[in-house]
Amino acid sequence: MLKPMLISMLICLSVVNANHVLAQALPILSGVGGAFSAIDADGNAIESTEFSGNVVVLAFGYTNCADICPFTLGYLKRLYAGLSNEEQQRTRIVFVTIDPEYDTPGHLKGFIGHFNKDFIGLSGTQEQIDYIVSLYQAEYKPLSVLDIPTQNIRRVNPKLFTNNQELKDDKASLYSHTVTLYLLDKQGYTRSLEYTGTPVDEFIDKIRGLLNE
Amino acid sequence: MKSNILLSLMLLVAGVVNAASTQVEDRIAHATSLNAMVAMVMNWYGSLINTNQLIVFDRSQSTWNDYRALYPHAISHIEVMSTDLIKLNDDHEYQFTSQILIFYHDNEGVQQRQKLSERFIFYVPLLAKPTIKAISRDVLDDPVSTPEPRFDSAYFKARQFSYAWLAYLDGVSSMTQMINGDNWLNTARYSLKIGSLETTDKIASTLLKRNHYLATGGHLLRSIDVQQHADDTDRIMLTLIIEWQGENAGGQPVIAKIHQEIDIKISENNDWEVLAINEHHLLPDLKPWQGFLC
Repeated sequence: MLKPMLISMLICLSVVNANHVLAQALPILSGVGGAFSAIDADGNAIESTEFSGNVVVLAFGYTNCADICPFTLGYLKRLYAGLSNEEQQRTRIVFVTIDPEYDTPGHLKGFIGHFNKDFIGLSGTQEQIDYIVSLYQAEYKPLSVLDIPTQNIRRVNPKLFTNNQELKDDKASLYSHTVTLYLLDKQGYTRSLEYTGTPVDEFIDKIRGLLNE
Repeated sequence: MKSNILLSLMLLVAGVVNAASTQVEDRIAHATSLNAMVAMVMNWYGSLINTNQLIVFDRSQSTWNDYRALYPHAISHIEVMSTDLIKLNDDHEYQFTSQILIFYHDNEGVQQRQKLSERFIFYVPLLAKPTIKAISRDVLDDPVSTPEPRFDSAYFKARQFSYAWLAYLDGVSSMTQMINGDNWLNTARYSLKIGSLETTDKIASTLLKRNHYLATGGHLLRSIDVQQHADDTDRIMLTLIIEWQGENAGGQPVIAKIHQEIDIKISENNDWEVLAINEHHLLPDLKPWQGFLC
């Protein structure tokens, strides 16, 4: 009689203890993130509060990015695949475009769906996007501002340039942007900053920890 | 036998949980003590510099007038060369040691130097203003190479005010006198931005909202910048970067990197009166790559 009780109690205590250790290891990062509105990949208005109750991994990027964004989404695809079905149902992978003019909801849906149909692409007005970027203290800059030559940059849709104006316009459609992956708990608090250099197993452990809180 | 094992396990887990809570409590006590004590030390040294009568310090340390008479007269600058803080066996006592270099003018107006090592024993009740229990000093050999005198009373005033303000934010309400709070705590505007929360209100009201996010913890000053207002010589802007660690109102661990701009008006009687405080929380410095753009 005492044995099952002992085992149950041990499990409960170890969960309580693990949660406490995790909370200490992943404190809330004050002022990073918050409530926002956006447009999802189906063109519907969405509030960030709709993610409450789920652990969220949030990334910034744009579909015209041929280097870091596909690499990041490939990483997120592996990360997501490492979760069980039940864990996947309680986890949201959110990709926020920093180029809402080009990344219409439909365009975003096609791009994101290439990696995983469960992933959520968010677009919106420029004002909405800039607000989300500011909430997460992220950054993005058109390459035209940085005066970086773009004609040799590899891209999803290769381009041929016939004149300088096309080159100039092209520079305005490419961006440098924050590469951070934000890990949010079920209440929407940012609990950790990660990137594609984080070992997938390590990242999964953190997601599981937050799922079990 | 089994119940003993059960009890031992429960105690073990409770111990781990309790140890983590104690870390937070230690942090609160440490930061509070540090801010309040350093404010008093800055006030102590700043008020020794008597070549600028336009900068006013707290004069509530008359108990030590005999000791203070040992310092040279006509001090123009003091350089704090090193400091050390030790918690003594009594839970509420700390020893603050400092090595300072005093620049002063002798009776003939010639600049002289004196190097001192001083030990302050502070009694620091939690969330109350510290008191100095004892002070001792050693006069050291004058250094062979001497830095230029740089740290005047304005330097110490900015730090005295900043540390006292942080001690006040930590909950040491008795620091009000040192920040001249009676003259502005009820009138200054305090703007706060934490994520999507943006509010501007009187100090007490803003602090109430802030306490939901930063309930119990300690502020540690990381940097300070003082700029005179371009159009008003009686206005200065203090910019502070502060690290905060503690718990929110729900008991969850929180860390913050806080940016505060404090707009200060120097009144006719040379007191500092805060007009407005602007605070927002920055991305904490956690990872070396977090500022990378690709």
